[in-house]
Amino acid sequence: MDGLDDLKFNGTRRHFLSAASLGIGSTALAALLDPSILSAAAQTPGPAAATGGPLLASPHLVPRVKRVIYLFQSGGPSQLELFDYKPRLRTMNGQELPESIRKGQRLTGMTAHQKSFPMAGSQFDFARHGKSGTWVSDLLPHTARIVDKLCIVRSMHTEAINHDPAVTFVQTGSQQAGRPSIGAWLSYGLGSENANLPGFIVLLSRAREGDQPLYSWLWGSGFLPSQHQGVQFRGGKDPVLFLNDPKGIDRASRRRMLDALRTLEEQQHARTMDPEIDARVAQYEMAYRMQTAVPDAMDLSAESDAVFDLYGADARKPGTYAANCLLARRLAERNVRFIQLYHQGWDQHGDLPKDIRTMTQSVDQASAALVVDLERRGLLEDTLVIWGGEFGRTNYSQGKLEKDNYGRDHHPRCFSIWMAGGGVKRGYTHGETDELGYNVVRDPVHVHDFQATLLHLLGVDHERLLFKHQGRRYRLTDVHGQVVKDLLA
Amino acid sequence: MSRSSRRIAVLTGGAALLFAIVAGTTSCGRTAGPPPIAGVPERVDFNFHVKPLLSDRCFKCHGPDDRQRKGGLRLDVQASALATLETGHRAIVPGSTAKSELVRRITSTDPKVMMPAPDSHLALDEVEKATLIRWIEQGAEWKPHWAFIAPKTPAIPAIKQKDWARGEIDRFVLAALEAKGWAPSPEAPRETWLRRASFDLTGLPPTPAEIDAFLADATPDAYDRAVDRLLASPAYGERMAADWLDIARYADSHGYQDDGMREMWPWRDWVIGAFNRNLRVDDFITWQLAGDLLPGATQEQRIATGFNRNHMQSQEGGIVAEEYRTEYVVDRVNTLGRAFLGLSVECARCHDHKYDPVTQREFYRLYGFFNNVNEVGQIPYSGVPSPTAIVTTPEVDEKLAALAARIATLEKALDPADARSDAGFARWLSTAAEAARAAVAQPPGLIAHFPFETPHPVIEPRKIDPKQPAPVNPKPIKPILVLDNLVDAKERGRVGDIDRPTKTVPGKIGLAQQLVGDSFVEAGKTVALFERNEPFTVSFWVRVDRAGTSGPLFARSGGVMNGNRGYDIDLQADGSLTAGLHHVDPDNAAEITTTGPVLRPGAWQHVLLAYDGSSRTAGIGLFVDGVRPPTSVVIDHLRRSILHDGHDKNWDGGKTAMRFGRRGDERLDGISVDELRVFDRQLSRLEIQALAGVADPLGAILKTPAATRTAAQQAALREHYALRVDPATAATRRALLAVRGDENALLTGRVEVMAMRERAAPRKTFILARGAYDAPTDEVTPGTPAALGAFPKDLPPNRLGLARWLTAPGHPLTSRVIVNRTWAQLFGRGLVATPADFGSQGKLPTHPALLDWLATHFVASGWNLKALQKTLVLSATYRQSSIADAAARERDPANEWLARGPSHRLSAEQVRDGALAASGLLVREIGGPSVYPYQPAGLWEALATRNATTYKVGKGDDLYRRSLYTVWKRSSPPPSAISFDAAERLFCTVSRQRTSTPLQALVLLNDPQFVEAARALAAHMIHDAGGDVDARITLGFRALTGRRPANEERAALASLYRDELTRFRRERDAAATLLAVGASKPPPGIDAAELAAATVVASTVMNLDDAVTKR
Repeated sequence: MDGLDDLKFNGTRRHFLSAASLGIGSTALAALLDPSILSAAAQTPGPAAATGGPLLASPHLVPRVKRVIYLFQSGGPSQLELFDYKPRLRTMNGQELPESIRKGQRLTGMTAHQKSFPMAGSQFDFARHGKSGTWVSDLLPHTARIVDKLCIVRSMHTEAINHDPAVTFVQTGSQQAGRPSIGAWLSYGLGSENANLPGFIVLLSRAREGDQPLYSWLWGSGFLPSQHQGVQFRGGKDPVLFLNDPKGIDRASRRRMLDALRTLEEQQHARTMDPEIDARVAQYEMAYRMQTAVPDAMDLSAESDAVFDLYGADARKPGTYAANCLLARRLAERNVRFIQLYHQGWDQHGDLPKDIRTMTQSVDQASAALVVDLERRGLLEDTLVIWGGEFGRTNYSQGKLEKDNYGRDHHPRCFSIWMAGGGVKRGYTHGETDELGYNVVRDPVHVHDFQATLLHLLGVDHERLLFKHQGRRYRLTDVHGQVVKDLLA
Repeated sequence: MSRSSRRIAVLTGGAALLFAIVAGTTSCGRTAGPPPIAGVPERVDFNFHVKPLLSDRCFKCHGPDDRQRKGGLRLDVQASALATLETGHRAIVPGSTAKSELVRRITSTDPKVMMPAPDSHLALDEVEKATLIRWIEQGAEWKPHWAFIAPKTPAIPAIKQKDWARGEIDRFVLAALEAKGWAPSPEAPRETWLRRASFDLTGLPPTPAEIDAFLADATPDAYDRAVDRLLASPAYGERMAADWLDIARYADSHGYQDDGMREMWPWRDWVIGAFNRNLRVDDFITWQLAGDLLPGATQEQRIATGFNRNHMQSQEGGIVAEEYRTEYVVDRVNTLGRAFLGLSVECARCHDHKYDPVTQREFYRLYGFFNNVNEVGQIPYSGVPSPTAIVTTPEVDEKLAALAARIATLEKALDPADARSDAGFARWLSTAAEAARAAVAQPPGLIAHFPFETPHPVIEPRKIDPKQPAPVNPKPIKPILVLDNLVDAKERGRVGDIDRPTKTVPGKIGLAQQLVGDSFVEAGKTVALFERNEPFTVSFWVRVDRAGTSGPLFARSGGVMNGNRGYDIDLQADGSLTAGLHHVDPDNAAEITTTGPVLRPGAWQHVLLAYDGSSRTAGIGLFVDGVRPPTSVVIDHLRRSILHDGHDKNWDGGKTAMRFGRRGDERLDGISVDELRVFDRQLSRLEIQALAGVADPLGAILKTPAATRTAAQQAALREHYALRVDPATAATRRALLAVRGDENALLTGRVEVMAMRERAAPRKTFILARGAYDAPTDEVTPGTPAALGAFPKDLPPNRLGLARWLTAPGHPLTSRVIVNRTWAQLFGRGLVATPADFGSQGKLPTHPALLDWLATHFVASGWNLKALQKTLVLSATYRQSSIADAAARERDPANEWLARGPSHRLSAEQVRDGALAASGLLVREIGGPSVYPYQPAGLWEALATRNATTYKVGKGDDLYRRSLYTVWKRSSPPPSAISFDAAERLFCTVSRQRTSTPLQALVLLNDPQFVEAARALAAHMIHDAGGDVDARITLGFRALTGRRPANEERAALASLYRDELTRFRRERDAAATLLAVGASKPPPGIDAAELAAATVVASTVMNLDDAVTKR
């Protein structure tokens, strides 16, 4: 028995019957109507959606990728030290930020009372790399080497000026918590392609202590059915909560238990005739298979030394960013739809030169390795890798500007991210900020545009992946967003 | 012919045929009535068939929202829908499908013509189109929206089957079934009903003893008494509270990014108690919305208002406070909508509601009710965000009353004009000679004096942490710039930041420090940390160097992140000053402000704060140049400690030095300061004048003959004598200090919960463009949506008036919303299937008359919830068996028509509590702080980086309390509960989802909480049932499922038991390991292999559908 199909069938049967009982008889009228209208109607939520099957029978558009690995850099990496080269800022180091540039931009409570805004040039050098001649900071030597595979966006902008609303905005399309996250939308819209693993998996890491926290609603399902929420995979021997049998129960024992359970459930089903019971039995079988499939996916012991060399020594330490990147590749191989990494530590309000080095050292090699590894295995063509945070950082120093030390506050008006993989241009840089790195001057990409583009690459029209809740149709991009065609290959 | 025009041609023909079918006209002429078309009602009803379609597919562009309206067509109002449009067409012409533009549009396929427009991605299917067309053909009858008309008690319908109904409810249900030709199901077995009612009313399964007693009770009122027993159980309040916590978005943490912990459990306990004593539901609502505004509000009524402080609140450093305060107010309006009105009013935050008659203006009128709470948007890390209610007990209240009486007595004795000091005063006056006159200028109690001369650099030795390795290349140590303290050299001051120094400039006396840019002055870290019962005086000279500068002039406070804990003086741009003492701003504070400018740019002026230790604004003396300028009271409600570190310290509760020019992240520049003096006593006015530069103020009065002295002069003398000279008053002050200290310690030590309290000066409310906090437009007054009936003029336009309006007997929504939710608690689904949306987009009631009967009877019963529930669970409808065959499930999958009894998976709480109860581990203690049962290690740690970063698993009873007491941290809620669809508690949630996932299987099979419960139950099976395996299995099975196992069930489990027994006898270590799960210990004397095998059996039954499903 194919467990998942069985599960889907049982899960949806009740609703299907409901829909069918209302729909019978309409076929006669349907014949009178234009087929194109019928297909438009078919794109309103299908019967399977309410019980967790994929909403869309087929994608709206031809998908360019099947899955996403989102390397979320939490805290707001400084674009000025990484991808957005601003030599002018260096020559003007220490000078006051002109009001003509700031244009009344609202500031966080941390620098709103600051009486002086000395501009701070990057202390790190940049150089051109690859055939594309893209400027990349010396902090990212590995990323620089693969720059011809990347699609860099230097003109991202957002509305939020603080972490919680900004991260929540990128991940859910709303600054206020409670809407479904991108991964949940995709799980709901496209379903899972692996019968034994969740379709939306979350991996966490941090490179330094004391930085900004994270919150589980970032991978929540909001008003979508809760099986679409992200499942956190953790380092260690219990990667999914409660995955392991209790100590003292071996596999044979567990099998006997499940067999007895099934016998009893079948008797119960015979008594009550409740189709929910079939669904429960299927869920127990899937749980049983997950108990093998998850450790198998998490087991890095079969990876070669060459692979560990590629990702770096940290990849051998469970729970590090590098180990998570390697895991992400293994999950991509297993067709997990949305693999969401979060890496904490990018909030450099002070001591930026020291801390950003810690951060880049923790991510540079593994991020580049992931792209290379996916490509070598032929997975990059149908996988989208995204690297980026929730906002950028100010071009002026938060607190005092010293010769060898400074900090940067949150900055919503520009930040840089990169993407790699199927459907996006390679060796391409999109958008431009002014010579002081404060405002976007060409090809701005709003967070909603980015989300619309992401969905587009997966074959989903962001205006048509909807969920009706409290009487209103919701979507990831709310009422905004344009696919950024220039990013598409 | 082009492809598209051909299509139109085909369609035109097709549409004509469609009309013909729908309208019942054929080329042969009229027939007697419309032919039946599956799915299209014979008689189309506006509310039930048409309005939902118009709302869902048309209102977005043709609904209540003025700004979105296309083509001038409005379909939610009859007159507009029938009117002639600018184009000359009429959308709807009753009776005429040919003249109705709507018909042409919905049947067209021309993208420019067709409706809904293609770019809306909405569509009507054929049945829907046919329904609309038939409605127009039948005369386009219009009716007001059902939910906005007050319910009236309906007539009880006639029924054919006479022996089934037990009461009115059943007659409504049966009538609907008979109309369909369906019959109700047989009554469920007694034990099934008892388990159903036990879970529904107490959240717990019946015990085998309770089942036995009920089965043995042959009296006619056995069911009655069972219900009475359940409703009287204290577990009832806990079960009802569990649902209310979702609606009230209750949690033990603040939410948002920092997600620090909060203590709102006294509010939760109030809810449990209110349900248990069956508080009238209208009072339940009123107290929670406006208990603080009730005349003579009790502590309980004030605690109840915590309902509207349960929403998330942000501590994140750097947020724009007003942005978040706006979110809080919006949350209260949204919650009002979902919880009481059954309306998604939130849609009207940014624009007029697209589906329901709630305009944006009306949204902000509702907002106005909740906009006057004395709160801030950025809540502190220390202390409970004000306003609050301090939770006391009758004993504490008694102590507080005694202390207050003692304080009042002592304060009276402190009066400088008290006759008892007359003699002493006269004696002092007669001897007040040169020495006394000179001494006025040298007040005692000086504890710090910073002349603010040139700062000098000092190298402080590097702090060496012996635990850390010595740095290889240590950075050179920067000097600090020291400002001397003439009283205590060790308590020196400093220029706050050597890289951004102050400027040394000529001062009032010698030199002074000028604040430039982000510079600030720090004056002593540990001096002048005064508590609110301690009198003190702060004196300094200041010169405003740049007109219009504003900010923290002087602060002994960590700023916003600390709730401004401490005391401070603020300079406003116009030169006025504010002075205050704060526990948590803005409500737990005493603060005054000058009524006009008092500082003039360019002049050295003397500013002095003299405080008497009373915690009242009357005791805050703000002096400028020796005189008290007129002031007004900002807040006079200081109730707790003003020290920085208390038991409520959270993440950032550290001490902050006395500072000029800085408080937290706030800065002030463009001023110069000089000669700071701090006294640990309240100075007299004469002393203050002397500090302000008045020469010999005492002598000036003494020179005036006693007979001609003014009252003010006389009072100044008496005050000086009392504050400086009189030993008796000094003794009284010492006594007062101690008593006030006792009161402070008592109040500061109590649990405090967030509550509602209004600002003295009402905050204005504006319509916010796009809902944005920084885009106010028109001012509005509090009020309610016109479509829900006028807001009576005799009600106060505040939250209390709102609550009265909401609970008035004729309100169309409140009672319906409550009875519907109560129905859903029992039947798994409301009569209105969208319990939070009774509007145009919501589901229509399946049994509208029944809903109205319940609503009107509920109100007439005095909003008696227990009575309502009793009626429901005793009804024949509720007593039905839930077993249904495939045909029955096919014709009514969701059991909308109630031809069978309710059945659904238990809630997250019920699944866990049921397992604990069956195992005997459940601890039945009610209320108290939230507890920390088992949770896999590292969950909080992985996400949180500050505040509550570690989850420390509790001990003993805390592991086995009911699930509503499990600590709820919003950013990392309990994973087992979340797996079972518990609400996240981010905002008001009226109904939970019911999904079935593999993660649930993993929880039930492997979570130590459930494994331990299985083991504990196994011990009972062996201990209580004796040696017979079947008896053991039966006992465990009954405890978990409420029924006896069938023979084949028992056989399957017995077989499992034997297999496991064989294994565990072979593998004794495995048995021991399994039995070691959990903190409790198995009782001694039971064979380990038997217990382990029974544990596996118990665990298997715990995973059964029958254990986790209400049948």
